[in-house]
Order: sequence, then structure tokens, then C-alpha cells
Amino acid sequence: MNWNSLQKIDIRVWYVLLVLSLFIPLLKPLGLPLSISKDAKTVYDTVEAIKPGSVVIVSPSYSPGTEAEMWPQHAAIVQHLIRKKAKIIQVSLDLSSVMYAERAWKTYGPQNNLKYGEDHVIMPYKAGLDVVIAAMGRDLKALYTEDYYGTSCASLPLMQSISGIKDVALVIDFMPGNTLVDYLRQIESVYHIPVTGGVTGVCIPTMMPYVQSGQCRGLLGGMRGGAEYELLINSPGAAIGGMDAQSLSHVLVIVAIVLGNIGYLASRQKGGGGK
Amino acid sequence: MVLTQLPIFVTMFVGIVVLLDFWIKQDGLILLSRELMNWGVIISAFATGLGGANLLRIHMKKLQAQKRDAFYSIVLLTALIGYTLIGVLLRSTHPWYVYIFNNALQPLSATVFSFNAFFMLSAAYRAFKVRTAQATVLLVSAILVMLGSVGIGEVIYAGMPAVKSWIQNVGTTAGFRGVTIGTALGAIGLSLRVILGIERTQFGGSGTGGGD
Amino acid sequence: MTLIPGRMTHLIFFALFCAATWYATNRFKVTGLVPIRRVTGLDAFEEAIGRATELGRPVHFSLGRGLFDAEHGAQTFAGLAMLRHTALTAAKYGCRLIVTNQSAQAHPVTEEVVRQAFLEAGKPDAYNPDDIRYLSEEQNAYVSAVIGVMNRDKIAANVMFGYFYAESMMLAETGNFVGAIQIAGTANTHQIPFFVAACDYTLIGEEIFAASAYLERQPVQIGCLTAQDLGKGLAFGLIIIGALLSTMGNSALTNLLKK
Repeated sequence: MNWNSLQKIDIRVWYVLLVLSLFIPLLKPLGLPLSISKDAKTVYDTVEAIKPGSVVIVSPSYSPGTEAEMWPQHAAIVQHLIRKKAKIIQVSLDLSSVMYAERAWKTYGPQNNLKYGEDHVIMPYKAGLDVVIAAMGRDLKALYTEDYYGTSCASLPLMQSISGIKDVALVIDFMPGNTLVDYLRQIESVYHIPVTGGVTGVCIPTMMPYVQSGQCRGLLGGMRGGAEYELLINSPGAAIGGMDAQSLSHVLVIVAIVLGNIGYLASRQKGGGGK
Repeated sequence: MVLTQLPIFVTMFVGIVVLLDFWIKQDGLILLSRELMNWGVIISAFATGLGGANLLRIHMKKLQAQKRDAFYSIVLLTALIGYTLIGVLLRSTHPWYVYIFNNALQPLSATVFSFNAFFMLSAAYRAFKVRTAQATVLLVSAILVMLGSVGIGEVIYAGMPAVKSWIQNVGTTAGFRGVTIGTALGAIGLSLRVILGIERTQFGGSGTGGGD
Repeated sequence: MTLIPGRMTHLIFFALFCAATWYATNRFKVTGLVPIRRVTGLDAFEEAIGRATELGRPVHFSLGRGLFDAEHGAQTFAGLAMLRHTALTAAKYGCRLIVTNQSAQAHPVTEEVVRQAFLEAGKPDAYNPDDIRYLSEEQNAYVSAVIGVMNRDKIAANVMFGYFYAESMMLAETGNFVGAIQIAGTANTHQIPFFVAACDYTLIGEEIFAASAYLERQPVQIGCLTAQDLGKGLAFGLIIIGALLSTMGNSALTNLLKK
């Protein structure tokens, strides 16, 4: 057998196998086990510790591209907050994220008999990322004078019940970028409001220094983080459903790497340059 | 002279005010700093409008010249103008706006983002080779992290998530901490040069002004 | 007028950094510049653009996210310095340069940088404003458009410098598929691995901030690099001392740094 050819398999073959490895488990789940990580448990415990009636800022900062990883985390945490009878203010730092804030409200608000304006408020998108977060800390009510639907915040009981960031019990951010770091910098370190949240899988190492120092109270990482949280709140959703697909696709990538290396080593033995 | 020096002076003034605001608590300074940051947000919004105008110009030009791909320019202009008008006139809470977001923008974005999976596979197949000792370490740790991130890793070895956590939380994080420290210092140096008008590339001039 | 609590340490470090920069800059004017270690990616610039010229195919440049806010600004400025260098080299060789922008903020700036570079190279007529393209703020729309540009225009060299998000992998792999030589640089830690895996040359972290100093060798830029190295030395010392003290249960250094 020409082992060298193992590193020259047409990439389209791998693409087809990838599609199959993602598609098949979605049709027929494998039921693979999933343990809960310490960091996900810490996020859960942080939310669990808040008192009923506490005001929590939830900040979805993601766009449609990262929805697969971030929405399950967002949805699971909103469900948990509703169970804890927290009052939620959703703020949006990305152009598209306000749509996810609205989706979370429409999916879980009415079914739990929540009243918009009293239990839940959605704020409009504001450009500026860290500038907006800093302004949130300095004067939340001056920053948001109207909600997403154009209603004056002065007429919303939830906004009337707080004077500023100091009345917020917890900030939860869902970021594919750096907004969680900005919240830690501008809110946690300045006003000492607890901050936690979720990130995409690639951002986990970036956030680890903040988690290990205790600045960030735990972390949900990628789709797995969402799946772990769904298990913790006993509400299986999209993340748990997607984990089997992710498992098989990871195995496929490993197989590709192994075969590529067998081909490479074979070509080196033959004296060829290899790729 | 004024045209070349004015942007540098404005940069210096704004940079120093905002920098001082970080350390000094003084009412006038706070107000000025906030106002300048608000202006920054407003300028960004105008820049977005400028970008839209640029897109209109380029694609109208393509249409007039009846270039080969002019059809796609029609698609772009229709989407750009149409969605903007819906958002401005009917607001982003209107069912049409939400419908287009949920049924066009969101699936398209997710589809393009999913290219990452395919590109990751092709990059891993091509690049993860045991050429050197370091490459082998990279390869082995990549495999362990991939297995530790998913359920199948726990089937193979129950402690796989712990292995993955160790690699991420200790090895990778340590490396990233070092890069982050270096990056932060580099950013301070560059920002200092920009604020002081030494670095002038953004004005189209040569890299350094007479700062030496 | 009072100092904001908890920021004294920042002020001291910043003052030390400025002092080190000033001292190093003045010293270099007297003693001459210190050597900088080779950065392979920067040395490969001429090779990359020369190759593109020989093949008669364009060079593509991307600034990544291209924003000028606190989070992205420093890397965008570093990217602009590289854009200027790329444009100068492309103009010198008579090679076409296509610049794609994801940010409307960066678009007029990149237009001006490239135009001035072509003017400086003595080739103002070669500058084509239609090759400086603002595509879309939306990340995935930008990526789709750039993938199209790379394939249709058959680029021979792909230069990516700045703050990148997930588009890094897609742009780099597409560059690979079209056979372009790729030089990339970002300080965004979670995208560095993708560039390392997919590009021919990668500048990691602070190397992108050192790029303009490496290329232009001005005393003030080298002075800044020296101050950065001294800052790293200080950070190294503090980490060692802090780790030892924390291990012994002493939080004196941690408390001092919180002031």
C-alpha cells in the first residue's frame, strides 16, 4: 500500500465525512456521557445564590455566527434566573444581539407569566462596547432613557426600582469577543458587582486568567458549557443535542490528523520531503 | 501646515484628556472626557453611513458599466437599501425586520461561520504533522483537548476532561498570559506614540513624525 | 482634583514606561540603535510581494476588524503601519494591491494611507481607489466577500495584520487554497493558533507592534521597544516575587498592586 497517499486524500472527501459526522448524531443521538466542569458549576452556584427579586443584567453580545454556541448558554441562564425570580435587564452591545435578547424574552417570559416592564426589560443596542459598559457603570439610567420598544424607562417599574449599577446583583455576559473582559474591567473592578458569563470555545484560554483569579465567577465555554448548564438546571436543549455531533466530528478530525501523519512519516521513511 | 498639524493636535488633546480622566477625579475633566467619548461614538455612526455610501458608489458604478457580476450588485443594493429603509421607517421591532433577520441574515451568518469547521479540518489535516518535537507536543495536546471537550473522550477515559482542563488552564493559559502581558506593553508603546503624534501612519504620512 | 483610588500603581507603571522610553530614545541617538532580533515574517515581505509581481497577480491586505476603539485600536494602528509598508513595496514593484475593509471607520484611513504610499513611491497613477474596498461590518458577510475576492482575483500574497475574530481561519485557509503566500499578525490570543496553523509566516502578539520599529528603525520606535522589554522584565520579576509570596501566604504584593 502506498502509505504516502494517506496525506494526499482529497479534502472534499473529508468534508463529506464531516457533514455526515455532524448530521447523523442529530438524527440518531448517541447518548454520550457529559460531566459538569468546575467552572460551569461555579456559574450555576453564582446564579443560584442570588435572592428573589434581585436585579440582574444579562448582556448577550453575540451575533448569528456564534449563535450555535452562545444561544444555549443564554437560554439556559435566563431560564435559571426566571426560576430564581430575578428581575432581568437585557442590554445589547452587538448589532444583532438585541434580537437574541428579544428571543429569550418571548421564549421564556410569557410562559412563566412574567410581566414585561416589571420582571423583564430589554434595552436597545448602543454602539461603543467598552465606552457603553463604562457609561453603564457611571449612570445606567442616563445611558438608557428608553427601552428597545421606545417606552420611556421612567414608566417601567423595573427601571424605577433601581438607581444605578450598585443596585444590580449580578452581571452575566455572553461574548464571542472581549466584552466580558470589559465588564470585568469597568464594572467588577470598579463597582465590585459580581460578573460571570459564557464564551465561545476558542475564548476559554483567554478568559482563564480572570476565572482563576476569581474576578470572573466561573465560565461557560462553548456548546459544552451550554450543555453542562442545561444538565445543571435539568432542562435539556439544543446544546445537549449538539454534543454528540461535536463528539463525532472531533473524532473525525483526530482520524484525519493521524492518517495525515502516517502518510507523512511514510514519505519521510522513503526519503521524500513530505508535506 | 494647519491641515497636517491639526489632526495631530486633536489626537494629542483627546488622548491626553481621556488618559488623565483614567487617573484624576475632577468634574470638568470627567465631563470633557465623557463628551469626547460620546463624540467618538457619533463619529463611528457617521463612518458607518460613509461606508454605506461607498458601497452604493462602487456598486452603482458596476451597474452602469454593466460589468460581468452586475447582477450581484443589484442583489446587494436591494438588500442594503431595502433593509435600511425597513429599519429606519418601520423600526427594528417590526415583524418584517424580524422576519428578514431570522430567515435571511441569521441562517446566512451561521452558514458562513460553519465554514470554520471545514477549514479547521483541512488546516489540521495539512498542518498538524510531527515535523519537530514542538509540533508533536502541539499535536498531542490538540488531540487530548479535542477528546476532553466531548462525551466520547469520557467514554475512552473518564479522566479526559480533567486532562483537557489541565492543558487549557495551566499550559495554554500560562502561554496566553505571557502573550497578553507583551501585547499590553506593546499597545501602550504604540498608543503613546500615536497620542504624542510620533506615529502618523493613520494620517497617510510617513511612519514617524519628527518625534526623535 | 484627586487621584482615583486603585489606580496609583497604573500611574506609576505608566510613568516608568514613559521614562524608560525617553531615556532609551535619547541614549540611542548617542550610542546608535540596538539590534532587533530577526522577525522572519517581516523579512518575508519583499519575497511575498516580489512573487506576486512575478506571477502578475495581486496582493491582498486585510486589517481585520479595523476599529479604532479601546479594544481594537492599537492593533488597527499596527496594521496601518504594515499596510503602508505593503503599499510602498507593492508600488515599488508595480504590483496591484487590494485592500478589503470590514470597518467603515478604517476605510477612509486606509484609502489615504495607500494613496500616500503610492505617491511616496513615485507611482501616483498606479493608485486605484476601487481596489480599496469597504465590504461589510457584518463579520460573515465580510468573510464571504473576501473569499470571493481571493478566488476571483487569484491573489498571490495575502497579508493580514490587525485584530481578527473568527474570520482569521476562513481567510487564512482560503489563501492557502488559492496558493497565496501568507503573512499574518495579530495580538488577539484566541486567533493566533489559527494563523500559526494556516499561514506561512505569523507575527505573534507584540511582534505586530514592533513591526514598524523593525522596518523603519527610528530611535523613538526602538526606544519604545526597549521600554517594552524593560516592562516585561519588571513583570517577570513581579510574577516571581508575587508567586513566592503568595505561596508563603503573604499577600503584601497583591495588596500593593491594588493601590
